[in-house]
Amino acid sequence: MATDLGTDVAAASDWPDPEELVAGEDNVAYALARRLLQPAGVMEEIGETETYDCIDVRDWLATRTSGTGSQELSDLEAQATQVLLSDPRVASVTASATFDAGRLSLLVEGAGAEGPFKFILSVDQLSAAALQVL
Amino acid sequence: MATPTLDDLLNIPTQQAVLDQEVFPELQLRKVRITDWLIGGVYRTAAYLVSRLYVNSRTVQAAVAAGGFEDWAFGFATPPNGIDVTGWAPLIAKQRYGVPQILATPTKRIFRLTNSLVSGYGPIGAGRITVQTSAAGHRYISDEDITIPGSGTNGGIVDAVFRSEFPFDSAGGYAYNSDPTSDTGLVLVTADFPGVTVTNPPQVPGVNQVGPGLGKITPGGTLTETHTVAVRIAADGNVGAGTWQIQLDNGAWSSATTIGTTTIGGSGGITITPANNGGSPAFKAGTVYYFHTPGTDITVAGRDTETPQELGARCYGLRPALGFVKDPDGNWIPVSPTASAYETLARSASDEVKVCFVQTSPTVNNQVFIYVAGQGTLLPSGVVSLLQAFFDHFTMTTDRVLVAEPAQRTITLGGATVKVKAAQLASAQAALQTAIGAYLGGSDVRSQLSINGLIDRSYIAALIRSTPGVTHVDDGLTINTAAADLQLPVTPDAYELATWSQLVSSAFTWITV
Repeated sequence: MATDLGTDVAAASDWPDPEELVAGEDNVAYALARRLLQPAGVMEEIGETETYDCIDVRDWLATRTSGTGSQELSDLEAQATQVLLSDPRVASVTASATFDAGRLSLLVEGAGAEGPFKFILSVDQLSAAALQVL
Repeated sequence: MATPTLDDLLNIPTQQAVLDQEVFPELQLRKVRITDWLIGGVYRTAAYLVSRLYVNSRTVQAAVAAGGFEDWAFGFATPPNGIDVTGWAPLIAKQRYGVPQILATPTKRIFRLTNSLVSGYGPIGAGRITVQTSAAGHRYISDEDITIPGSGTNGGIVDAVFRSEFPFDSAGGYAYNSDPTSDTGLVLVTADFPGVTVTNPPQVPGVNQVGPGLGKITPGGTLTETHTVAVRIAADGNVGAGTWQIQLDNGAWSSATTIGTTTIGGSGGITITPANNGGSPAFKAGTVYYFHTPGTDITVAGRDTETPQELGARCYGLRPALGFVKDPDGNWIPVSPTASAYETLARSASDEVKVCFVQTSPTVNNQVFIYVAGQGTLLPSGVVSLLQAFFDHFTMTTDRVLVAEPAQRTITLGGATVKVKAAQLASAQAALQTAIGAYLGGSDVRSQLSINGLIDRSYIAALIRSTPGVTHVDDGLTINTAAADLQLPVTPDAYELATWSQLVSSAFTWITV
């Protein structure tokens, strides 16, 4: 029997208008993308008591004053991987970061209960985020 | 919807209750198709956000409701559900009683500047000279224009008024009304005036004269001990002709004797020297002269911002004023106000009054004593006279008001062994210094210590035990060498104010763990 990965709004950084729902692996992809776009502590601020690991890659990019070299990108990939694994629906995942022309892209590939999933999250220095579920 | 009761308004639901009883049932009712309710889910996050806003809204609603009740706003009682509306007290006091809250004031004291060079300086504008006390670490800033003479003029000496760097904030460690002898080690922070040093001036007691007469008295002899002295003129006359009575530490008045140089109490003896000062008769019956030893260099006793409770007491004390008759100009004539009204009048007459104790005389009919003090200190010369003049102005027909200073009772703590985490030793000692200073100085809102109060040993032990970093306190705490509460006054029938100038770092035994 297939595992129910849930149905939720197709929102990564903003609420879609009109409201659009996603389910299955796509829903997981959106949920993981949100974990990469949330500053730490935001869930506690609204009263959540469960632990929620997250990182805001927009803040990460905005605070790179010493450049975005391979070491920094490698560190970001490690952080992102750790955050994404905290979603109970994710069995394995890898994150690959690239930086080009002021835009940071994260290619996320993983596997969950229903099979593999893949998406690309890209952000620019104006804090605009775009999600492409592959 | 039924009209909510006060309990309904004051009841603030938990966020979980709002989620379970309001938000989730509403979503179910609307047949929302969302099935992902893991943390981070969009609808779940929105539900938490809505419930948080709901709780915040109910909190505001409860605060508005509670703020209308003055006992809660003034902190005399605590509303349910952890609502704290004491922040409304200043507004309520102003709007309903026309009473503004007394804000924190800086302490002003005199320091002596001595110039060793021939050439002088100045005039130096107010604010340009900063002095620091190495013992307490407090800084003071010149409060007036100062001209420092060269060493050939008056020994290069000038006494000038300085004000504390910040207004009084005893909770934050900014308490400036210390005994001058514990505020020594003065250094001049300002480096623009080579050859100038700063010291405490001699602590000469100031004499307050309440009543008419050109006659003066001058304290002398041993002025280093803690005493409060009052001299009352019993019969008109000059030195050698009139008579006076003397009271030491609020004890019994002496029998009337001829006005002349007199030595009273203390191990070394305080000498009181009268002078006619051109008057005849110089001393008038009924006039009272007050002074306390040792003298002080404080000219204005700073104080904390008035607490909600103090402000509330002042407001409630105005209620008897509703019954006051008025003179043709519309001013009150408080024929015989209540004790609380006297306290309100005293506190309103001078911002420096932090401690006020009203007592009718046990022996003289119609006589009302109003004992006043500043925060952790007696009031400077002049304030008592000001208050007496203030009450005299009312010419109360049924009460004879006498404003007086309490005697000081030095408190010595010791005996306790305190275990503290090594990394927090300094911060714990600083916090405890502030906490005990606030309690014994009468500014601890949780336990107000007034004149003739009970010095609660268990409360001081609790202050020690609750200091961050302290892990253990033994049962050896002593107050004036006894392991028991200390009820003031120690001298029967006196009116005593606690005074404390120890450092907790040396008063107690500290063991780091």
